[in-house]
Amino acid sequence: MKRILALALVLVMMLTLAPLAFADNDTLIVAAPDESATLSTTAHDALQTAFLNVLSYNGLMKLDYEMNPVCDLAESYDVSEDGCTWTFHLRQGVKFHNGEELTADDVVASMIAAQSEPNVANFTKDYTSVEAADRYTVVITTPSYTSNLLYSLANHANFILPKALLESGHNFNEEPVGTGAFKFVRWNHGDSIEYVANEDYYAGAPAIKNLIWRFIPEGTSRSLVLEAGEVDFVIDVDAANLGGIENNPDLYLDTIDSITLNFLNLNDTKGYLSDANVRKAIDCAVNKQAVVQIAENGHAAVAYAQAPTSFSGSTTEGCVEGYNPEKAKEYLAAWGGNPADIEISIICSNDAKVRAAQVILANLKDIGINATIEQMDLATYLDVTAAGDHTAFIGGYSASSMIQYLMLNFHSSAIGAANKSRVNDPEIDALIEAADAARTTEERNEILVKVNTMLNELCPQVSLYQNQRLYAYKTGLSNVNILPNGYFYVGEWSWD
Amino acid sequence: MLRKPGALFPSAAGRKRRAGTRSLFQNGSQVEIGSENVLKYIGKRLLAMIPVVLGVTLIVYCIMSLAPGDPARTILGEQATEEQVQALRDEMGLNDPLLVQYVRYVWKLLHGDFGTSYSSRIDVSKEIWSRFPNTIKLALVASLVSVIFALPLGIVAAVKQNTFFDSASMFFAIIGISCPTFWFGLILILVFAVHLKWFPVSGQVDTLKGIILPAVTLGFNSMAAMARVTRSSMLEVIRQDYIRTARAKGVSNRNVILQHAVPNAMIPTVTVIGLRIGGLLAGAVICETVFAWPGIGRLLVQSIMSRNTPVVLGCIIIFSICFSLVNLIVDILYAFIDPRIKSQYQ
Repeated sequence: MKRILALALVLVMMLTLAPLAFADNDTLIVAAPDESATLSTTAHDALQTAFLNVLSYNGLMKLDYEMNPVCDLAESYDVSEDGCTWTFHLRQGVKFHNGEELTADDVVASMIAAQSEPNVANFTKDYTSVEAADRYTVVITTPSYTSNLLYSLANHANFILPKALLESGHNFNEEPVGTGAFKFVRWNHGDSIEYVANEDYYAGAPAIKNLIWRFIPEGTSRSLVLEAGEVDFVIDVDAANLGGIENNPDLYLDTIDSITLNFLNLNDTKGYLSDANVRKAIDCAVNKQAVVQIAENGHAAVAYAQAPTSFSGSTTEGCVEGYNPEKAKEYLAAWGGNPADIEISIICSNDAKVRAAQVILANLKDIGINATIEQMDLATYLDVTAAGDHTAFIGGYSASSMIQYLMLNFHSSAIGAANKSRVNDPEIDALIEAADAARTTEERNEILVKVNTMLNELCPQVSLYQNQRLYAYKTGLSNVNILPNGYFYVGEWSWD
Repeated sequence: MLRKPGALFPSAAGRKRRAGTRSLFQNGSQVEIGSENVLKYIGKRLLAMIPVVLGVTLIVYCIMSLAPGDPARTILGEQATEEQVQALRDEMGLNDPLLVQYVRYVWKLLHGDFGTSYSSRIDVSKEIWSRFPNTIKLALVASLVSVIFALPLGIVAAVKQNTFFDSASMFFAIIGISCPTFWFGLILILVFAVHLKWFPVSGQVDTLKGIILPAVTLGFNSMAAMARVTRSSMLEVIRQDYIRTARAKGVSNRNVILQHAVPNAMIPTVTVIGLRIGGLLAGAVICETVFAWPGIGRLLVQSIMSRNTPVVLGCIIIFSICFSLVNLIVDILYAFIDPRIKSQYQ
């Protein structure tokens, strides 16, 4: 009996410990850090979910690799003389995953539905009406000319869904149906999402026929699954675990300068922080290079300007002179108060932010300012900072255009939302609006440089660094291009 | 079955009685205990779970509601204005009094509706049930791993007290208790998945080789605790008079240990096993994170962070029921290990 049991055990071991199966060349396995709560295009504003939306859907516009909006489902578009009427001519013969043809009615239904979703309100407020002029022509009306409309149309909020399914109450949270390069197959909650290639994709059937999108939250594990050959592409490689990937000739580490600007936000309405000299003193006192090294393991670019430098219209004109404790003391002298009276509590909602704050704390102590670190989870942080109950926090923000960034971070209409420095300057508001309404790129950039210079001089918050996005993949994977906002188009990839 | 010196060589009549209903001595007289008492006891315990679960929901609901952080703000993100947040709060019913919200929740719960996830807008029951089997699977296999190793380790350490084996076993146990799950999991991955390629790092939930590394990681800590309890319980039992009597009557050492000492030392061990299984169900978060195991623990933590009250409550209810059931099973097992306890099940 014992011998039989032992034999059975050996047999089971042999069967179960057989060599691991490796994926074939039609399949791509992606490891992502976060599982999306929903696959809807409108019920979120999360980057990781946007990646999934891009697989299954298209918008009228999309962003090219230089972050410029270009036509996607629209073949071309015209703008009226007054800049308020935009006519989009759709591609003909584009099929949804359910076999139906894309028409103007689908565009109208999708965009009107998106307008009722609060999560994406910032991407649907540019247009006031959407109408179908004929089967393949859509007319969008805006209150005034806005250069931001094309960027908003490239956002997942305005991706196009089939009207019939929208009206039937189809559950897009769990079963996406769009025109994108990949058709949804199955969502294994907590584990992965499976897709197959859309052979009818308007831009040509993808070379990758099967796509598995796995969720691996732990950074080290995400790197190890790539090293073990279990996945082919890793999103957001942990900066602390690069050695194994960098030293592996079969793997490639792609470093993308992102448009996310990380900053020490200061509440300009709180106590002595309302004085620009105090804010500039803090800016001068912070050793940003040390912050980058400690918080991001060196994988970031030091930032000085108030807005990301990746966009046109950015400038470092008016910024403080960089790390200079003596200059910081001069700013404090110009303010005239006692640095020990300045109370700053830096809210941090994750480990990288805490590491950054620890450097800042030491730097501020050098100029006589005593600061503290306050750790809280994301929900509490969002609540406290939205109410303006904070003095400072470490945060980060990205947008798809300079105007969008300025509008959300420094326009007075965004106080209580993303404008957490609570900048309330009518001149800055007017300049941002003027830049949005500018009809030519030259005119727009001129205004943007002006408003950015003003903001740099005002120093409402302390810019720290712009992240680098780290992606890693097997060297056999071709045509991999990643946008500065992190987006990528898997439909264009192939195996060698 | 508890063996006392007098019961070492039971009479034929005694053996016959045990084949039917069980017998034991209580207060000097023999009491017949039928299986209907046990069934009645199980029924009572199952009924008692209802107020336990409701009490747990009330406590968790209050904690989640009083905790700082607004679910609506978390869903809408940083860009949302106060008006948008308030509109969503109205839509979600979060502006109603706490008691109204709770009663509404319980009413739905009594109708089998766990509610809808704030963030995914998917039925909570669907979210939980898609992950729960994975959690059960991991907890059971981890428990099995820990029991398989802990019992022999603990027993042999006690039998060979103050020898090299005893010290080595307890050193191993201390390593197991002290070793952080996170670190141990990553080391196993590095050695057995990345270098030796014997097991996958993650992603093979339905295969035996996919569950081995997470189960060993999770079970290692429990194994150490169980081994220590087994050892101390065994040490206590093997010093009892009836063990000495058995040895004096010529029973082999192997039989004394396996037939007389081990069963009597099992009560504390079974208690620890039960508690550990309950703990493994809810406490596998780190292991699930390291191995990307699609279990309920990670869902619970994510939901707490995002103030997703319906999902948190759903998970807690499931955990409460599981924990209560495991405790019930442990209590029933006591009766089979020690018939004196069975007499109280009425």
